[in-house]
Amino acid sequence: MPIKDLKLQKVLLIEDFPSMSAAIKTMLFSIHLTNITEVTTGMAAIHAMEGEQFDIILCDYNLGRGKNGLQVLEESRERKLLRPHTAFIIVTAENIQSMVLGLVENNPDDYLSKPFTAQLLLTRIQRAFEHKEFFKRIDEAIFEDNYPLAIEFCDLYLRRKKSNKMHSALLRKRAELALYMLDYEMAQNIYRTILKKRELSWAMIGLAVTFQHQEKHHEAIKLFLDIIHKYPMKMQSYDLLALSYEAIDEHSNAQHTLHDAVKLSPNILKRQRNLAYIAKKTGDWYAAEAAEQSVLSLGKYSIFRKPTDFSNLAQTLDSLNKTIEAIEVLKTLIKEFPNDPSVELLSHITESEIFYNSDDIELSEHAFIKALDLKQHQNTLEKESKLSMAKVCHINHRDELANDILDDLISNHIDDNEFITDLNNMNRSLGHEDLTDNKIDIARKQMVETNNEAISLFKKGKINDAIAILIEAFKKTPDNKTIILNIIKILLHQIKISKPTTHNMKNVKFYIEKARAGNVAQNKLNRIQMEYAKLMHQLKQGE
Amino acid sequence: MSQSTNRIDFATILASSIHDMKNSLASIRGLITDISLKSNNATPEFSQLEIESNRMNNSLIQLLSLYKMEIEQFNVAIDEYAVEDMFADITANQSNLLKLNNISIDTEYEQHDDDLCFCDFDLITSALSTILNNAQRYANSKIILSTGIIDNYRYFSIEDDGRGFTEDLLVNNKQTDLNFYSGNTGLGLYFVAAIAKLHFTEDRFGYIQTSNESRLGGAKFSLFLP
Repeated sequence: MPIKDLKLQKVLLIEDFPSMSAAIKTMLFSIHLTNITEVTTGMAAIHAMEGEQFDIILCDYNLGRGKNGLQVLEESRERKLLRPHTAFIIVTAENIQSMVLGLVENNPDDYLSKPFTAQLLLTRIQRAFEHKEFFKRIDEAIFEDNYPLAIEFCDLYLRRKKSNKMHSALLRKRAELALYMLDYEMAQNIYRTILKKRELSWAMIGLAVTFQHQEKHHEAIKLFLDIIHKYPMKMQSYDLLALSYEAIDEHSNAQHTLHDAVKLSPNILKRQRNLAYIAKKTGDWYAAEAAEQSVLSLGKYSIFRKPTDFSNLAQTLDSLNKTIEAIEVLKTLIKEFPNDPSVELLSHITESEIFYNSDDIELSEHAFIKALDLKQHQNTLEKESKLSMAKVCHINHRDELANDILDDLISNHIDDNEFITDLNNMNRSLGHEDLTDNKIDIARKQMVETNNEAISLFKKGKINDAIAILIEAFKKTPDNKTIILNIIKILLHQIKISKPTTHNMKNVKFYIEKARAGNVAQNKLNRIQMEYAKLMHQLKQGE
Repeated sequence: MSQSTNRIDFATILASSIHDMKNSLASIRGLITDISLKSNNATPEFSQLEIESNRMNNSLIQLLSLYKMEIEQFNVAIDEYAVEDMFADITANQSNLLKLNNISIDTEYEQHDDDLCFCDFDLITSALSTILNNAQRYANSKIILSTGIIDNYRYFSIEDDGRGFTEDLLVNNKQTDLNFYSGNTGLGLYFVAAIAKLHFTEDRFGYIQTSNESRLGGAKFSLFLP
């Protein structure tokens, strides 16, 4: 990009030290970047990004109290405050491994180690822009879910040998797109061809991911172990390896893998949360506590923080008989999310459960009464919290309310075996076994009937009727994954035999987003995403 | 306290002290640039200040890296990079100095189908920056930076027109051990040699060569990567 263009670029400079900020500003002026907005905290940076769009963001990693540079990057991405062409560059003077790894994992457009010269800054900005410009049309197609078009551009650039420098990055993107379109052979071919020339970690990881998508978990595990042995700093391999272990129910191995990962790179909140979740499955309450404590401290200024991080920790502490600490955590929860009735409800439910477990019936009742006052907010709770709610209702002899909640949970999550097991276990502990088993059977039968009816209508060609039945069921049980997936499949079929329009594509996208939000397993979504991308391509070509 | 805890503590102290010093250096360099822009004439003192701050920065990076290599906490992240980008980084970090010292730098690429290098980008550019920084202390007016492929090794050479390496800094083959006690230049070479060795394939290792066979009559440094 020629220098004259730089004059028009809007720069956001995030730096807490005035002398450093002044030094960088001088530098920016010397390379003709004069349109500069300066802020000193992460929060101010986010506000600035809400107000206007920047072309270049230079962010110091260490910003004193509040959000650090990494959290600014995470939040601006999560909230889509970054335009695709914005170059986000992190500036740091640190060499501490945990920080550098966390940084690399979050993949900013670049990072610069202090001290640096104006010329180097300019070089890096231009390189980031050059990269963005090269991949512009591919990334735009991906942004619109039009993967076939993205592939067309990739193939075109590869054939034209448009750039030697970008060749490898193009192949990498092409392989990822192949994976997305379930073209495993193509993905494998690309990765293997690269690996024949040179052993590069990203190609090894790509190959292992291909195995994972094909549910060849043992092969994937073998390769991931090899990658981690050779490239111990490629942190994503640990998460992926844990995923494969989980897929074959080797929870303990999954836990160890994530434990190794957080020792190296402890600052990734989602990994700590996942570690806690798996540690609870293996019954390792101490590991769960450590991870959940980390989640809390990492969450302090993070967009990824959730109220259940607190209630989960409180429950773990309770399991370790640390009742006083558990109650303290709930107090912090209320303080951290002020004036939020659903958070108060969550806190009271958990409190009631904890006091009950420590045989403090009076306090348990007291907390329950407070929860009852807020019961109209129960729909905002996550399913695990709803289950706790049902439990404390039972304990406090409000069986009718408990049963309503359980009925709702069972019909919404009947296809989630893990959760139904949890639900059963909870119920068993209270001596209501038969009732729930019976309910589960009824709910299962009902779901099977609804689906069968829809499928038989579908086979008779009565597609609209089939959809109507499923949508009716969806309204009653909006979290039921089987229903959502069947709606998507039939809608996609209908679009295929008619033709894609903006309207019907938007409609099916709504259910795909629902499925994603409901944590439908990726392997069940893969084919759907591919079909959707194909239709999107068809739609765009028709326009 | 066990021995291993002692080590970890020291690593943290070292890393955070270096972090602090690098922050200070960044401020100092900002001030130098500021003052030199204001005074509007490039005096040799500015150039000396910048050379010295560069040296300090390089030494700090070396110190931490060598320490990490020693305790085997060091990992290289090898990927494929365009040599063009590597050169841009190496020269960009020295640009002010070259201007101030009136040293011209020529870059020579051997044009290949793929001008790519398999390496750890940060490590190799910082290693070559160290050598380039030394070269301009000794060069009279000219430096040549070149790269190409010989015997399946990617090489980078830095040649100057200064007085050449002293006898004890000459490394002719892969086996020579360096006498890194001979001042900053020696330590710099030792550092680059250590980094070169971290780049390996199944049967080949990276290495360095030093000679006084520069086309400009001074020192010639070469780094070979498999």
